Amino acid sequence: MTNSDSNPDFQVDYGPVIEPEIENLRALIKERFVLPNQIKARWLAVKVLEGETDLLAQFLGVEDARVVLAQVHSIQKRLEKRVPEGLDIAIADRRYERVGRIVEQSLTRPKEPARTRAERVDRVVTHPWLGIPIFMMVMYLVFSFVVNVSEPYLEWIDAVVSGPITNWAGALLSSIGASTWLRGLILDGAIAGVGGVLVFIPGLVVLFFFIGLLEDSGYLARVAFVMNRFLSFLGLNGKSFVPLILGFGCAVPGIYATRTLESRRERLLTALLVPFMSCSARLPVYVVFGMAFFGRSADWIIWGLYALGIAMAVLLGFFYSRTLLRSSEETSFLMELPSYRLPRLSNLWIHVSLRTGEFLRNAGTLILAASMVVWLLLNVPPKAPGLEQSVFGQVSGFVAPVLEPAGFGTWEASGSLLTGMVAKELVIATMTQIYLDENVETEAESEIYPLQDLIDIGKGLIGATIRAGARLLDALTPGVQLFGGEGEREEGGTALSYSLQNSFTPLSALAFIVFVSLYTPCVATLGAIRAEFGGRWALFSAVSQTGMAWLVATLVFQLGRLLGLT
Amino acid sequence: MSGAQKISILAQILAEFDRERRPLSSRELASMFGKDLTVVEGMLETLVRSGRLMELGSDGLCEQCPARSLCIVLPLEGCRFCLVPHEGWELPDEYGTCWEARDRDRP
Repeated sequence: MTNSDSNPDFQVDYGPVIEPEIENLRALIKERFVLPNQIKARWLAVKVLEGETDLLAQFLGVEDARVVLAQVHSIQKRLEKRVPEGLDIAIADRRYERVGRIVEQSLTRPKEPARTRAERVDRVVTHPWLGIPIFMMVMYLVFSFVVNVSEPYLEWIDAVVSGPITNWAGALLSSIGASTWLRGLILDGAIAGVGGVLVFIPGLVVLFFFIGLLEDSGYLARVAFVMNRFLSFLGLNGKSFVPLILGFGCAVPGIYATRTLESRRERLLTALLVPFMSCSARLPVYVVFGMAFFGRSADWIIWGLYALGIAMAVLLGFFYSRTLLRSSEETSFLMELPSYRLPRLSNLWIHVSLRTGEFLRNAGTLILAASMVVWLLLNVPPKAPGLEQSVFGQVSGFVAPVLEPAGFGTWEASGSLLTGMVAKELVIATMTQIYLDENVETEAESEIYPLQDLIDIGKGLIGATIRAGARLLDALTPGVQLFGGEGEREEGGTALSYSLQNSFTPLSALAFIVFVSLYTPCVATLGAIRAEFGGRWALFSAVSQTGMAWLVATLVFQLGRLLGLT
Repeated sequence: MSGAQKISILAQILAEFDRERRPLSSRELASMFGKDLTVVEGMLETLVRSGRLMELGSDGLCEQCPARSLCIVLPLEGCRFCLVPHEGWELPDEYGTCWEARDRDRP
């Protein structure tokens, strides 16, 4: 089909349905109006039918444009049923078809494109057998960095919170004549509780930084690909990896991210497994116990706890997918691997600041309020001879015998675990209040020296940075001790770490952190499961997870005793 | 030419978005339809200009998504697209994801 104002060699044929209408419109424009020289009537007709009607007013003037527009509307109405995808789409499609034919005729493609460097790396990191061990090794390195680099800062913040900040607050409270109970609430409740949690900010920053690094480099997408085969063993597919790995940060977004999965069964199964991934709020508990009891092996213990969570998820996933949530339906997983790239600092900053900000917000609201409530419960009735006789102590003591077989059947441990049901950060916040109140005498703060304190804080920061740098280099050269001796790690730790050594043995401490790593994460996670799948499944998740935590912690403790460990 | 009978490739792309009910990347579509990436990118651009599709990530649509940092669509090279919001394809809520609409209108 040709016409006088186009070169037939380059003219696109829009097909027997559209072409006559283009021709009618072209004729109408050509007969009735005078167009600028370079504008062809056919081109204008096609553009107008594609929806670019403002061109009419531009070339024909508003009045004349109305005449053509009326014709365009009548064409669109006529073709509505014959071109259901829309005239613009049909016209564009014909153009692409024509371009495709030209490219096909004129382009010669190489038979097999050369393999890129990224493809060569992918052959290793996505290898069916090597992929998962490589991932586990990478995760070990991350946790090793977290423990090694954050520990000096952790000790520094601990010293700042329990030293100058507590002293300044104490002096301020004295100057306004605050009562004893208000001083207790602020110093032993709010500052000790929130401070006990805030000391872990450096560790979390390091963790979030490295997770961000793995995400932004494109490596985590490879892990999802590698995990596909592994997850299909659990009746899931690689897409479930995304909510599962989000669970390492916080289980709540992980639960909501199950919406990305296709079937309800997959979503539910994944949501039941997400809480087994150790969230960042559990990390402080691991670090405190790791530093107190396991010295240089702390990073292996922490890595082991993360691996334990994954192993439990695998076992339960296998069990659930063959019992409660059985299905013969298989869903496919199609994913495209992004290119490797150098992580961008701006992305890393966003990643770290968002997640750390969330932790800080939590510390300033929930943890603060809960720490004050715990302090009140620890001091009611007011004349109780000891913390154990307080309301908190008695309620915790009621639960304690249940935890006896796991080796930590004390009111202090069970009380900390109870508050940990609200949020995992509260385990440490509560322990700080209980153990430090029992073991550490608060220094008198009648006189303060702000300038000297600030100088000490600055010196402490510089010292911590130097030690963190040295440890980073040590961590980067496994097996080679560049700085410090073998015993250096044993000297570290927060005030809480030292107090815990009087209340736990290494074996009961291990059983305790195993329990913490597996029991239900927090009420917010249960709320998310309830919102997505209903109260019955939330209850099932809480009961089954806590039961599993008790069982595994008891096994660890009893087997350890059988092996003669203490 | 059988313009009325043959389903156009652009219409097929839109149908694929409707069927999948999730964002798709240009690479994914190129692989689905056996076309060159650059060709598909051009087609997607046409569909964005025509108001049928929208590009993700450029206007904060994914800000609230919990899976954003691990999204397997968003970090890909090449552009990421989803259908323009309409009934049955709502924008993500606070904890929503672009996939959540897929369940709402399923029987």
